[in-house]
Amino acid sequence: MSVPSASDQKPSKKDFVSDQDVRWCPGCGDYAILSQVQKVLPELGIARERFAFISGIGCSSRFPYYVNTYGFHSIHGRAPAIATGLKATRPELSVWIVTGDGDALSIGGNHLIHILRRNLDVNILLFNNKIYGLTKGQYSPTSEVGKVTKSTPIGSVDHPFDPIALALGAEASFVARSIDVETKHLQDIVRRAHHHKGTSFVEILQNCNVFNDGAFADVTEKTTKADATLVLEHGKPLIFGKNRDKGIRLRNFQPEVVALGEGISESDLLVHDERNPALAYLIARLGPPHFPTPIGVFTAVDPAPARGSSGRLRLAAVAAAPAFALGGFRWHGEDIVREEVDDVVDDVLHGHDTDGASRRVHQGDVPETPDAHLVECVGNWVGEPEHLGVGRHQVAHRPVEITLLELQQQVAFGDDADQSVARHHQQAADTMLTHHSNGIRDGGRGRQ
Amino acid sequence: MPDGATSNSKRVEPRDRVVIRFAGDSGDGMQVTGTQFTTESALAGNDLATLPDFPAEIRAPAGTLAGVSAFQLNFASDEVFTPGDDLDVLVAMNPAALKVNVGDLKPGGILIVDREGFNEQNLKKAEYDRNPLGDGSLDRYQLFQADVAKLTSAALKDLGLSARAVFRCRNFFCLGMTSWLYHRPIGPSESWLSDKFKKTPELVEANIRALRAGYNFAENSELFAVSYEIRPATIAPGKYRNITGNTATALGFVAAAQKAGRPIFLGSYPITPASDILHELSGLKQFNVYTFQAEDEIAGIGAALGAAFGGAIAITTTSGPGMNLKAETMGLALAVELPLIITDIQRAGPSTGMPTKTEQADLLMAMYGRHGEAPVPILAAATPADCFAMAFEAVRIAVRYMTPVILLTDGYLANGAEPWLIPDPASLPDIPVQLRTDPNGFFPYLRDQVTLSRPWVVPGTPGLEHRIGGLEKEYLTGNVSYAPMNHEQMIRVRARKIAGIVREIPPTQVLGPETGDLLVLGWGSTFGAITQAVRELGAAGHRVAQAHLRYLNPLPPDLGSILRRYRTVLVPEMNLGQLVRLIRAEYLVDAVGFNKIQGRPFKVSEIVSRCLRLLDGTTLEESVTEEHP
Ligand SMILES: Cc1ncc(C[n+]2csc(CCOP(=O)(O)OP(=O)(O)O)c2C)c(N)n1
Ligand code: SF4
Ligand SMILES: [Mg+2]
Repeated sequence: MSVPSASDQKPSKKDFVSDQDVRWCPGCGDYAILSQVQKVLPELGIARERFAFISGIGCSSRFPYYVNTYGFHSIHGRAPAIATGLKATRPELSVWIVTGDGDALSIGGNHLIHILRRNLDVNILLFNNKIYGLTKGQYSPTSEVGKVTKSTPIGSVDHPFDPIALALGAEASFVARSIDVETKHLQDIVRRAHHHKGTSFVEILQNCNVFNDGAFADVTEKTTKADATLVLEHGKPLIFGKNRDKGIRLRNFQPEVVALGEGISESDLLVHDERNPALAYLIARLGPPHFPTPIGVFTAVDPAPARGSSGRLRLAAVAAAPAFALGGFRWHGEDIVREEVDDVVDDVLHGHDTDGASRRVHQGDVPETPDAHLVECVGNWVGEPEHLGVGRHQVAHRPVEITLLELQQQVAFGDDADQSVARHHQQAADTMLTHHSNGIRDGGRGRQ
Repeated sequence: MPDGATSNSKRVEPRDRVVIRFAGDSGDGMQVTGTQFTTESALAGNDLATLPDFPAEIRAPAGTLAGVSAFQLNFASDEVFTPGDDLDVLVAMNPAALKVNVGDLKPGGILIVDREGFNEQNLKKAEYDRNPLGDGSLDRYQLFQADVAKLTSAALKDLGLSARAVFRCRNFFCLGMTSWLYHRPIGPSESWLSDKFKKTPELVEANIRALRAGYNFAENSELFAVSYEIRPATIAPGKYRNITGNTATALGFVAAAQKAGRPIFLGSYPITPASDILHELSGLKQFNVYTFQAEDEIAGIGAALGAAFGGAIAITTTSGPGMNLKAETMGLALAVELPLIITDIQRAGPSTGMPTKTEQADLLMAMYGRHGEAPVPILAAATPADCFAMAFEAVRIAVRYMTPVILLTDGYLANGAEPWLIPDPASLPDIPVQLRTDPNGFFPYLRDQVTLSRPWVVPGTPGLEHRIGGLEKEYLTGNVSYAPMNHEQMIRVRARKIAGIVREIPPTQVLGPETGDLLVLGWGSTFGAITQAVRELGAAGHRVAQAHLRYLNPLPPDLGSILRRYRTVLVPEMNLGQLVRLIRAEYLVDAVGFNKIQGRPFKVSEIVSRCLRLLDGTTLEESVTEEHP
């Protein structure tokens, strides 16, 4: 069901440059990120109109204005929520969330962990400059302890989040880090994020040259970066250093930096495995002052088949299925067929049991009223309070099977289920099965 | 077998209307009992209105005053507008239920109690010094004492159920008794039980036996000498179903979305009394309904807005506390001009307030509760069934004007039920949706000349790529703009667009004389009580009329002239005077407020007596509380 691209020629970077002036401070790391993303997008084989960039508020969140795709600059911290609704409604879109360290980890922290938990098939680019840029330089949830800013004249006291560890803690299925100025590496990571099915979380170390200049100097300065950066590669030992003569070894379950040679060989080192989130967490805890800063893909796990003890089939798998449509229904970006509308409305208005009631009447169980009008009743009542929260329809996070059960129960629980309603439910159930999907409600199969 | 026919040995008296309340412990199943009695009454052809009333605690300590749960039903052979003021019948399962509810029972009213529930322990929990069944304090009622627990267990003797399971069937014994008393058919309750406990046939058997035992006991014992007959109401022919406000709201959304040819996306976070809309829509997935239980209310509305961007009929449902959380996103929705329906099932606030009790105190928040110049259309449903119409209308307006719309209902409408004449789908208005796909002459903020709404473009549409956002936009292009005059122009055009919705508002219906001494102006769930009160006043020869607002922003274009046709305007509200404030500001009319903030709907009698005092010449503001401290 592919929509033809707007342009017939092979798209190039300039197709993804909007007509708006970029308004970041000269020298800001955001420029480099924008440029790499604009370079990668045309290579992905997706028509321009199929991209949507959703952001919150912050310098970084101005990003969508500069990319000539669909875009939504929303409110502080809420981009994951908006992206959730868009992706659920338009699964065929490639949805990108652009956010900052304050936007994602402070005001939007709740939405971030929940979108990762749901594993919606979107890509998150978190520009971490360890500062609130747009509001002119207050410390952020990634600022180091003791950070002196306008709001913390004697230094901040809060311990920083590590975005990678946080994402892994939320069981994100793809977690990676790159650096604004590492153009090639950044492009690779952006590409990989795109190809991952499920939420891709990418932290990009970004220099705010106005309010937090040099926050990542150790990993960007020519003289120090080789010793300060650990480039992760799947299946390869953890080696770093200008002469690639240092490595990370595990001793007594503790990582340590060792020099290669002198009785220590590559085979003694930890080997990176993207499919092992536990290892990813261990690596995420590396960093200054005792360790180099790891960059690259920490973890990339296929959401299906189930992974880890939780064994979750999550939305990613659903979104990955080509036939995925809204909640598994026949709607797929197209209008509902008009002629059927009134029939469908009629069905919904009569609810679960209309003909049931009339059947009862005809069977003579219920005395016919003199007026011969028919009064039908349904079981949709507010029950005792215990029924209020956990009533007939458990709401979210239940897999298809439960939904089918639910449909059957609904048929059973209506005052008197009739054939047409049952048929309708069955149709819906069939549609769901063929689409292997139940939208967001699929999250949490392992928690039945 | 009991089938609604009554033995000839007892006297049968006709009644026009009966108000009955079932009251017991939270665990006694009073909501189920009331619901089944309602079903039976609907099938008997009576018009009716219900008022479930339960504590917020899922299981308050058994037997305590705090744990009392009640269900009230008004059924009649003519039109019913409210669940009724005072009770004709009270069924009290224990002393606490008696104590909390007996004050509402009319003198001479029927009081049915489970005698065994009045043991020392329960009396103490209900803070009774003496057993009220024996001290003469109930002399002014017709007191019927039955050993319900004992009779129920006798009926269930050989089923081998636990004592606890047997005890829990008492409510159906009581349902049986009351069904006999008012000639209700118990067949519907039997089939309901058969469905409900399908997986545990012994419970089907037990409850049906209890039901029949109660019915037969009432018929055969000496306890009741009279039974009552309430003729079916003459209401418009057609197919009816009983419907609660929340169900009607959900169905209104679905019907509208179908008419619009778009799917529904509901983003919501559970909160009483709104959750049932989420539950209801979750069960209607076969109608292109996508429900998303979000991590909080902000995500609920955020996801809905994202879905609106994606072309869905976007809805979020909540109650007061959740409304506060949604304010910022509503501002964004009106800035980006996408359709979105925000449904507030009002409950008693502030803060957590009384979550299961009703109130109308969110009107001014709906009107003004956003920063900046942020007008949003506001609709309010008047009855449980009207929730269908207003939910439908909310969708229609949101889509036509590309705007967020606030739909106000309240706990009373949400949980209350009434028979609803199922509309013919063909009679519902069409909701035309034009998703823009033509790149020629396209601008994101190009406005429709009539409605001033901007085009709805769904991402994925080739050639129309554009960016929207919360920053002020340039008038036509939608590009970010800080130009001073542009900002004022945008503020004004957004305001004009919302004001222009007046053209959608049908003429305001005035019930009663076209001019007169008094107009009672209401909005929301006060409709039933006001209607009944104005009818009674009219019947007594007073020149009193009624108008009820379902469109609160903008207000109906004919309202100003209507208000001026009456000497006095009275505005009863379950708040400290919110609509009255808007009316006074908008029309410079010296309207008088009448306020009740008790978590309970107005009684008809309260409105009648307030009107009578106004007609006498008193114009001071009064509240119910001042009358009943
Ligand atoms: C509700 C709300 N609170 C506060 C702000 C002010 N504000 C705008 S951006 C921002 C912090 C941005 O920091 P970050 O996410 O790190 O983005 P950066 O500017 O550094 O890219 C704040 C506090 C706002 N716009 N909205
Ligand atoms: S304040 Fe910092 S982050 Fe913001 S644009 Fe300027 S340099 Fe970039
Ligand atoms: Mg920042």
